[in-house]
Amino acid sequence: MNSDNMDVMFALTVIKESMSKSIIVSDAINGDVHIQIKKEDLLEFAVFLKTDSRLEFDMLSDLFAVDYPKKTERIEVIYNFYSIKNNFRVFIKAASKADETEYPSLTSVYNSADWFEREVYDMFGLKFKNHPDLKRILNPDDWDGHPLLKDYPLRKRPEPEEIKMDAPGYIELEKI
Amino acid sequence: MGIEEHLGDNIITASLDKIVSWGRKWSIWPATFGLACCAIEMMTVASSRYDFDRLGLIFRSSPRQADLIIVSGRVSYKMAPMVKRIYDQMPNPKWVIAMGDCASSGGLFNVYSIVQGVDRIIPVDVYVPGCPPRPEALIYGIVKLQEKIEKGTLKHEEPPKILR
Amino acid sequence: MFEYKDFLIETDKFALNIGPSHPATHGVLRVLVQLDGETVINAEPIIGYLHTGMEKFAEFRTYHQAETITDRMDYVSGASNNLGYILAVEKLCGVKAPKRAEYVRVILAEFTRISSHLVWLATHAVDLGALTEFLYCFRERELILDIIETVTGARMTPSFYRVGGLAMDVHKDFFDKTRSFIKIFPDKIAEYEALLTKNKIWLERTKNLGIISAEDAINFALTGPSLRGSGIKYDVRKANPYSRYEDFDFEIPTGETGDVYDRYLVRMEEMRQSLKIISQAIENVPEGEYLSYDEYPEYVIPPKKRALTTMEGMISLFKYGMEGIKPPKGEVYVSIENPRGELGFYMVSDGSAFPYRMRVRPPSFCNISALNKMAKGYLVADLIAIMGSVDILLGEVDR
Repeated sequence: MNSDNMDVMFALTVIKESMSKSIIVSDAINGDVHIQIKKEDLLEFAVFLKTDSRLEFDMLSDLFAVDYPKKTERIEVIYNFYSIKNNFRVFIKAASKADETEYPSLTSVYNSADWFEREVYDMFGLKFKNHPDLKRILNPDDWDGHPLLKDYPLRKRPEPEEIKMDAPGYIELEKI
Repeated sequence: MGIEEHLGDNIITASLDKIVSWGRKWSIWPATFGLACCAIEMMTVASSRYDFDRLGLIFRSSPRQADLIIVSGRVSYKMAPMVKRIYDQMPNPKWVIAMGDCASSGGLFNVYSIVQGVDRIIPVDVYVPGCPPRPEALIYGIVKLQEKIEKGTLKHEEPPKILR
Repeated sequence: MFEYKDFLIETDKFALNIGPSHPATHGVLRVLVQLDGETVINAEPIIGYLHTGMEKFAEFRTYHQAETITDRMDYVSGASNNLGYILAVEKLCGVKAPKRAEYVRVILAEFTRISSHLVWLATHAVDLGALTEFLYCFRERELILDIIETVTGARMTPSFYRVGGLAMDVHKDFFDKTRSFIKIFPDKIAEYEALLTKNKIWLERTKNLGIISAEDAINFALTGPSLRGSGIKYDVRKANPYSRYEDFDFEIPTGETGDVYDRYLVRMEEMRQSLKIISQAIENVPEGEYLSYDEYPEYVIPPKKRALTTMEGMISLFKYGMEGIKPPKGEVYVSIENPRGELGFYMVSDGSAFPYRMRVRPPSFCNISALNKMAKGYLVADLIAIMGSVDILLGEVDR
């Protein structure tokens, strides 16, 4: 570890001080900082993490979700923020229901959020508010269901006869 | 296609068969079409150590100029229409090699997004097992295909059936 | 007087579809390009044509079985991907591999980095018309694959690591072959560079193209050579050393402008640095155990010899085969420096023998998302150069 690395406790105190109202739980396991927050405050929280001069989390390294079907707020979205200057990583978690529509989008703060949010929408069906172009990214546009949900069977696939074999050809200029 | 329609089925076409099949055998042109892991091994076959130019195989970038499509890798449901379209664009006679386990049968990936074997959408002549197959295995598959072509006739043959 | 723009022909806007099967897309990437004459206005990558559902599939495999999925994800650098996955599982279990195993892991990971960069250089150069480069690169790549095959038994998809060490001890030929490779390879890099680095055509086709500023690169979460080409000195091997990378002395090359040529130079230098790491590691591989079975019998498989000669070894090997390992409940994140950037594994365990969730942070996925930013305003022929310089691998983008 380098000497200029940020201390875990220092980072936690800074975050807790400024954003105490939106934090639900926070802990540090194995050197990773996990913070559970309310999902309404996500955008505000991200802006704070990015702009605060002590933290400077300038990279949204990853964004994904985990499905816990037994909980009422079954989908937990995990944001992985990284600060290149301080060499420090923090995981922000926000839980929600499966058909959630009022999730704030971070595309205005981080460009990398664009594709990650599309992937979460594709795999979990979570809709992000104010996302510029929310559509499926990995599965075909007419795919049925969201594969990474725990109740989606691993081998549920259409018959080969059902594939529409007319591949997309002509594209209207305005549509891209 | 072409001359055999006028000549009919007789001794001249029988001899012509041999010449034409011999010619086809040594000039199989595969389409430049790669999907996944096996595509890297397919590139290796074309490179310095294995060099399949010596078997008369030259990659063509357009399916219109190709006789052979090497389906190298897993075919997803999103990709399946494109594989089919590339196959349809190739002129007759045409052949297909399913390279690797995924293209042959789905292989390791028995999951929601993978077509379980490319033979469900296009007819396959030679299956090459392996995950990914070694370059030698692909060359063996190509030699097997050459043997098949050698036995072929000029007359328009029905392609192998698509397995469902 | 006439101005430059008076000589330009009036152009029309139109859409061009590149891919999903196109020789220059390195796989099954599709790019919808909006053109004004020859100038790119908008280039939208459309991915998912190789979507394999690996994250879902891993939930149905035991921890050791799921390793075989990871090397089919980034198939050019299999050993590197296995390393990231195994480190994540080891962190979950609290297991540490012995020093011998860690050194061998480093050597294999650096070999895959070189071989991956060779594939990149070969295909990138072919796209821009330098066919000789392709033949040169694949010549040396075969030597590397031979070495990897000597150790692991597979060319591209080794799956050689186990939790707490290696599947078996390394073969003694490995050392001789590696030493002879270290001897010849510097000349070969010079050979590649002689063809391209100061070549006028290469400079014209790569300099000042696809520029991405450091700020944008971070904002798009680029990592690896694409980020370092823009001048950011971020490398996971230095920032958070894993698998004893802190023992080795190596430099992190960076570029200045962040154009295609800088990314090319960074990767060429990285090959030299990887070779430097290998030459340090191969001389210092310690003797001893290759599996830490004695320290962590609960999570580590017994070495082959003990499993076949002693009763308790046999029983525990059978148990691992039938039940798999069961790490404690918890969540971990481990990232390593893949040839393409930061490859992260976020593992969630619920205490059973199957991963509850395996999330892969794919470097190529982030890198290709910045394509529009890089390609805007350049010619469509340059788009091919830019696409090649990002070095994407569709198996990893789509997973």
